[in-house]
Amino acid sequence: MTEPVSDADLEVCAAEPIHVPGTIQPHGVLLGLDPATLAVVRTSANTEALLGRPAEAVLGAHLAELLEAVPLADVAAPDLTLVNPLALHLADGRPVEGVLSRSGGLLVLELEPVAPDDEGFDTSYLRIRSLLQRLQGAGDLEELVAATAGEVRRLTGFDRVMVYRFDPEWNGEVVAEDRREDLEPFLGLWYPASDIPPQARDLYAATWLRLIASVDYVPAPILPSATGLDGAPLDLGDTVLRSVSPVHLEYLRNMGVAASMSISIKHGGRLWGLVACHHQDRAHRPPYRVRAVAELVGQLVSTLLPGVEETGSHERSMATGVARGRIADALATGGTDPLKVLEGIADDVLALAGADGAAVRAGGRTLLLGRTPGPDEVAAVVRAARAGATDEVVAVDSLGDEALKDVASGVAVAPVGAGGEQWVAWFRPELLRDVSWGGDPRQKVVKEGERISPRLSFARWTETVRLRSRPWEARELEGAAWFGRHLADVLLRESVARAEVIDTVQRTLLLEALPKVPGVELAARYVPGEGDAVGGDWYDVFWLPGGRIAVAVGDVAGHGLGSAPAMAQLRHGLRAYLLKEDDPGAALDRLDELVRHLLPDDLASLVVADLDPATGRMRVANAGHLPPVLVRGGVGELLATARGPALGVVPGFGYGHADLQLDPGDALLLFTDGLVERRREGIDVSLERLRSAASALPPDLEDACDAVLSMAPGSDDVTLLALRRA
Amino acid sequence: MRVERDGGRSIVRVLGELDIATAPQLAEALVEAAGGGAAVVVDLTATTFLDSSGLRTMVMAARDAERFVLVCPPENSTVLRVITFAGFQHAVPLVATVDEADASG
Repeated sequence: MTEPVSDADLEVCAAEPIHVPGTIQPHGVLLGLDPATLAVVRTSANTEALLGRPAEAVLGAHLAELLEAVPLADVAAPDLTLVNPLALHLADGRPVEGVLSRSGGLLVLELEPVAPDDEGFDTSYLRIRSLLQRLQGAGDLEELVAATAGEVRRLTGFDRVMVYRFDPEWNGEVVAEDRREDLEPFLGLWYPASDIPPQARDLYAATWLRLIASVDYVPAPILPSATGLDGAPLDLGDTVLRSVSPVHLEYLRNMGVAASMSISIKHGGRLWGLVACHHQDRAHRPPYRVRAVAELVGQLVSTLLPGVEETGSHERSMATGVARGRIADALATGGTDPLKVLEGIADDVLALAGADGAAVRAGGRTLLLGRTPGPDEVAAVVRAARAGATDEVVAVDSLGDEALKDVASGVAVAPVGAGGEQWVAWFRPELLRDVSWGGDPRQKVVKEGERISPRLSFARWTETVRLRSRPWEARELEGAAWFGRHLADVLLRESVARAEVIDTVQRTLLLEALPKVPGVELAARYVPGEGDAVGGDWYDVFWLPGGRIAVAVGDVAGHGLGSAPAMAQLRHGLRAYLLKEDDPGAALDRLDELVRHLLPDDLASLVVADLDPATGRMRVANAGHLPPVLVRGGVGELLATARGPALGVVPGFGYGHADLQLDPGDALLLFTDGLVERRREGIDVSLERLRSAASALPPDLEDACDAVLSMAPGSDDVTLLALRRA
Repeated sequence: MRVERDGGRSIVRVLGELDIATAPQLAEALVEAAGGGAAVVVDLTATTFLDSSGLRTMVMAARDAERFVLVCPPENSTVLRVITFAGFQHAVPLVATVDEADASG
């Protein structure tokens, strides 16, 4: 009768002190020597077979009585790992292998017989050199683990050699296998974390190799007690004969394994995996010199791992590199708005982290690329994934939101600059994955009566993993981090460059200084907008014949800073036509022609006025522009007369002008839509607010401009030109 | 942005804000709508905001279209004012309903 065990039972199992078993495997003899005298003060009970005398007769004997010659230099070596194994001979001349270690104040000498068939194991220099070369020649992880399995099997002669890789939760997957042909393949199978309990993993991380020569061995106790000279239980963690947990032996027996060996593979100080060697049906004990080479293989593979994991799958690594190159190119040459540039190279942004969708949050805007949660959900998903960690790359492959699983079962977030406000997130959909376990992982351990046993069945058991995305690989997260850093640099450079361009635009298209006009006060303001909104506004003030002055404010729609050439042509065209035509309406007719022929893709609006400062006579013409505000006798009014369509809209429209009289103290305000345009409010309401403000302007014209400007909503360019008759 | 085709004319309904961010979508929709020389009706009844970028997109499309009618009811003064300030009604028919647009055809 078996029943599933409780977590409490598993804890008992996990707490088993496997490094102090108090017994050894009986295929060799363990001697505990007093390091000062080399007298035997501890011995395993099984001395009869190898040494030809009972344990009682070994205890108290001097090492010299047991061996033909005592390796005095070796036992005194500071680093015993450098002298192992020792080629020794027993008192009767038979060869044995000796392995030295220290524990509990004792010098520990383990002796293993040299079997006649040991000569079949080739550990010659040439053999080892070619073995190591084959491992070093592996181009990627897959090749490395495959070579490892093959080479270790050829070296050690086990029936089955597997490379077993741990996932972050310590479940293990068989990633490579070399086996006797008649054995069932284990490649691709998963084993639950509980198959190798934590203290076993600790031991595996601390040592390189463990051997169980026969799973059916009868443990040999250590006499007179399994303690060190300090009286504490003897730590056998560094010994090679150390006995293993009976649960582990039963686990192996249940698998049909008769002998087993494991070699650790470590990566960055952590246990990465194991080379697991199994022998079926009979005991198997490669000599120590072979195990030493196998240990060397484990160490070499551990050294090679970081390199091959980085190159990883070569093609994907190439794809990432290509994507990085294209992104960097596009951002360097694609214009002033990085988000717009990224929209055009969405595939590369997605490829960088191997995602189906991405969101870029920068400059107060969010750009969505590919398959993502909705605009309102993205920020919440990112917030949940980051959980406060806003200055590092965060990756989650199990967001667990059923509603979003098809777009965002996994998310990786990279910060853009400091502060946490700007970021890039990549999204991955649920990836239904079948995992083949080596037996039902829920049946980790069974309890028979009062005894805990490992599970009995290792039959392939497949389960489907849900609500998980493909996991994020280190290389993909590096790509994400790179993108975040690069975008931060670009944004910074862009803001500096934009400031410079705005400065240039202002200096070339706007005026460095307004002309001094006797009898007229003039004031102008230009405030650049944000992101795409910058550019398009222009104004001009210039002298006309007869002492008159012309003022104009215009707007070219939709190109941002790319509008600069059109703005320049309009401004120069207006100057030329006004000089020639002596009528603002006629000048607009000519300018309309110019737009249709030379600027067919532009929509331009413009309001122009000319004023005789001496008389106050003024003419105003308007091509599709917002009405100027006229302040007469301290009262503002919208100047809605003499209005025609924007330039380029109606061929041959025939613009007219309005004649006005500007008395001393009266003012005219020309402006662009950035001053009044609001998304949540009709333009009439905004214009009325402006008109009403114009009725209560401060006496100083500069102050008046500031007061009016303070009403601007502030995302678009704002241009304001004010003139007042003194 | 929604394009409906019915015989020889296409109606492009612009929902929400038509600005520098959504103007490229309208441009695409207008190309689709004008395909095969169809008459294009742009319905701004449900448009909540219009800026000069959106206006420019419509002006350019109107120039290329065989026939182009703008629908904007007087109630939607926010959008209507932007159109009339720019004088777009001097270039294309501006009507209050889609039915009128059909009648004007």
